[in-house]
Amino acid sequence: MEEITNTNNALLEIEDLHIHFVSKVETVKAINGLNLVVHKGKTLGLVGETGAGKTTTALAILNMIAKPQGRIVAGRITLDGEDIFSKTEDQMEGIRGNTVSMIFQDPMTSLNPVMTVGDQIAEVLQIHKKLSKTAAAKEAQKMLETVGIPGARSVEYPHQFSGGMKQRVLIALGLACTPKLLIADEPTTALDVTIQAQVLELMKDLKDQMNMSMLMITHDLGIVAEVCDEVAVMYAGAIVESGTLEDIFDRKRHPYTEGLFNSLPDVNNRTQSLKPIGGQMPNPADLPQGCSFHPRCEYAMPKCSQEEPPTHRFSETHCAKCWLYENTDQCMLASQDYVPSQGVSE
Amino acid sequence: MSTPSVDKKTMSRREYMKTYRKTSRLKEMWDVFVANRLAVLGLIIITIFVLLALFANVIADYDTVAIASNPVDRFQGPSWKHLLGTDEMGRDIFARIIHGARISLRIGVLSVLVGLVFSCIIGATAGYLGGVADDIIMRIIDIMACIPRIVMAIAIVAAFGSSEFNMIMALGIATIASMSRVVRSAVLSVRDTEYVEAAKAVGQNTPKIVFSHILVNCVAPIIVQSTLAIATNVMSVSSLSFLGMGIAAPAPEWGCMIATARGNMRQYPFLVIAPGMAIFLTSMAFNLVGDGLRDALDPKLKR
Amino acid sequence: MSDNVILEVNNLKKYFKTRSGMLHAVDDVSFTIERGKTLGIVGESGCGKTTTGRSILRLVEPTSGTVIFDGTDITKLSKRELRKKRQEMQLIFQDPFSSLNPKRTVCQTIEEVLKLTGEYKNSDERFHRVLEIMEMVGLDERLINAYPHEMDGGRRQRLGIGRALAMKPKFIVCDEPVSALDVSIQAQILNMLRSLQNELGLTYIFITHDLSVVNYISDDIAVMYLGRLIEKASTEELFRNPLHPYTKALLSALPVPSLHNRQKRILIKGEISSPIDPKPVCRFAARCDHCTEACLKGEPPLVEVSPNHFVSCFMVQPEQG
Repeated sequence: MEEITNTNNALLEIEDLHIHFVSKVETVKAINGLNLVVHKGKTLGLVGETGAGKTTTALAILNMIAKPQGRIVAGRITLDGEDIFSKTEDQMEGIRGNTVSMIFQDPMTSLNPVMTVGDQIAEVLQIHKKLSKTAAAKEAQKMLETVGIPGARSVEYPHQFSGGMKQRVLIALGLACTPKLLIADEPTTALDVTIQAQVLELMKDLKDQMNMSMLMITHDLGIVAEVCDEVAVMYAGAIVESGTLEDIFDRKRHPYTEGLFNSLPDVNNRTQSLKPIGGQMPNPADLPQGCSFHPRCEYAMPKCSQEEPPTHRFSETHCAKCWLYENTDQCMLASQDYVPSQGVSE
Repeated sequence: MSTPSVDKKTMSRREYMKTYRKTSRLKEMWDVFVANRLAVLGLIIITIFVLLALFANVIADYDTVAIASNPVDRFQGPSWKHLLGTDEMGRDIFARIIHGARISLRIGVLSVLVGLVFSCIIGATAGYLGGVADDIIMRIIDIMACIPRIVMAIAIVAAFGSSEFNMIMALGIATIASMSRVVRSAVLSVRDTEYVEAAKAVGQNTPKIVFSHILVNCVAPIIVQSTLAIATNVMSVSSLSFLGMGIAAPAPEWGCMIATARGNMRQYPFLVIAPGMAIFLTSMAFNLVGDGLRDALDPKLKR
Repeated sequence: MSDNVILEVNNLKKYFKTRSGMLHAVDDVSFTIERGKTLGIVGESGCGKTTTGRSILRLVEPTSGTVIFDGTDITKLSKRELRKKRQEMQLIFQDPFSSLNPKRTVCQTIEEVLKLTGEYKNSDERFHRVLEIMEMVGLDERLINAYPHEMDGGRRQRLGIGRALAMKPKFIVCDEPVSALDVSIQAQILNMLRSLQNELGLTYIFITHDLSVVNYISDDIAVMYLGRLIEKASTEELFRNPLHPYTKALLSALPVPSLHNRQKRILIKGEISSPIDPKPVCRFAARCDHCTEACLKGEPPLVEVSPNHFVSCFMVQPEQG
């Protein structure tokens, strides 16, 4: 993040973000010192388990944290050179759907059931692009065709579409104003694998066509390998490791990243038994001291339970937040780095 | 999976239950309920009315104070002797209000209980059986729902005479339509859950499934609906009496009190305001408590 | 051979009446499972895999067909006999939230099942069996009086498994038992299911849409599409040599969490068609790239093309000899 070269082509920058949800009973620390950069024209995969704070991060970028309980304790989000938290609600409305738009997880509930899909897309265009009603309707049809739905179906209602088709409509809706950043929150979890493959392919193509950046929130490392350029692994509200696809998949450094990969069944080697991460996600209202991963970590040292680890930088792109690398750049994990010469087969 | 199981045998069931206590669900509910200020206010009002009703005879004798006329003390304003003044026959209004509370609460609660028994049987049968039985039962309920509650109650009282028992039955039957729908939808939402299926899969018998898996999980909406129904029925008691279809004149029924005070309402508004406030406060209190219970009993609100 | 077969499903059909016609949820499915093995049933939503699992346990009444479990035809049993037989066949559910009675503690949930077995008359003995089961599924004994809402998804799923095991079943239908869980928890549960199978000699039907999970846990895999079984083979065989065009597409659509040895995707067009009154043609024909005239004339039968590899496709011919 310090590199000047990076900052120049960064579209979205999140610095030291802290978000708490305060209720009478407890304070839930959802985001704890999150740093994140999405570069122009790139796709960043934000990976983590339930409760890691992925969706909260996405909502923070849109400045849509539910207000009385949700508190932005510290941090800054810069989107396309503008400070998000300094904007008024009116200004944010101009940014949402225009500079940045979001696709939600559940295509079943994200569309208004009493409006035709064409009208829903046209509405966005009328608001942001100030198009006339007829022009917007025409543009909406074109958008639907871009995502592979016949333009004639724009007069149909959401319930007339299947799950995969609805997700396409949502993508069309998200892309209507050619945003610079598209946030996709688990866009394919509700879909079947063959449909998921279609939708992912579509999103990749559109991203390239429109030259936009994408923040892909997912728990599926397979999807990350499929569509992302960069990866950030999130645990208990902070990024524990980030880097390019190769950094994370072939040269992982953080124990949690290793644990995630070891939890996945290997399709090519089915006899190998899984090595799950022990224990459960920590309660965000009562995070462990020091490194929040230490109670589940095989490599934990006494230090880990006392002090929060610093972020160690391995290369320009690759960094991890772990005490193992206090004095070394060498991989300290049991799993080996990927060596290309071994893997060439078939 | 290989932790020593030797010490397991040493501890008895009771010791285990002592060591790892259940979290008290009642306490959890109470915590949520107490957080709702208005619901607590409602509960306080109800408690006051219930206490006044329970000790009505201690506070003021029914025959001598609430019923017997005392022409000398007619139309007195509020004073220490008569907290809410006296009416056109010189009877202490406060005494009449608290004795009236007895009638209203008794009929209100009992009529809902009557309705509840019928509704549970009807609603649970329709919901659990489904299919044709459900269709037939619910169409009959639909027809019942088309007749306004108060009209139905009047019809029943008119047909069978206006005794307290008849009023309880009339108002109870009048609540069946709405209440059995609540029971049915609650049963429907639980009937197809996977834990009911799981109970079937382990070979549990039907009555056990209905009671310990289905009805137990329907209690919340039923309690809430019942509380709200008490509020409605307390008002209906007074409405019927006001119309002369309910409790007859000398008895200190709130609606009845308003009806007899109508003639002197202009000069002595207190005669109407006092019983009016009593009706308003009780029914509002039950509504507030009902809303509070809805939050407290809803398991979805738990994290 | 037949001695080793614990479950034999023959021509199982389940149709549902709907307003627009007959919904063919499960249409003429036959397979066998050997004792102590796991059969994975994979397919996309609406392919009938869940209904198949439920029909085998008669939690939904099959329209026709026979299910022979351990020598007894389940479909012919009376209600009372079935209740007894069900003790040997259990079900693990997908959603650990809705499959547990929210008003019952861990102890009450397991104990209810133990009472039904009638095996433990003494309350203390029964209680210690509850503790044993909790230990078996990795639930800490301090959770004995916990309510489902006080536990996370992984622990709840462990309780669901414990409830099924309390019956000492021989055979368990696992209906997507890990798809609602996070990967790290999913791996814990999968490992546990595997080791329980070895310890207790269980037979599983493992229903899932996740191919990497089914690959890990199953010995054989059956692929379903629109109510029909379209391919069945051993797991190695199916992943190495898928023959049905749909299986091929399904396997290639699986996102692989690795940057190497990537294969080209076979994208199939369109979406699953309606299961209501399907025409008697190949159900996959509309989406198939290799569709011929024969495919639109009749339904392809399930043929054994090589030992223990069954495919239902006109394009695939049995090996000679």
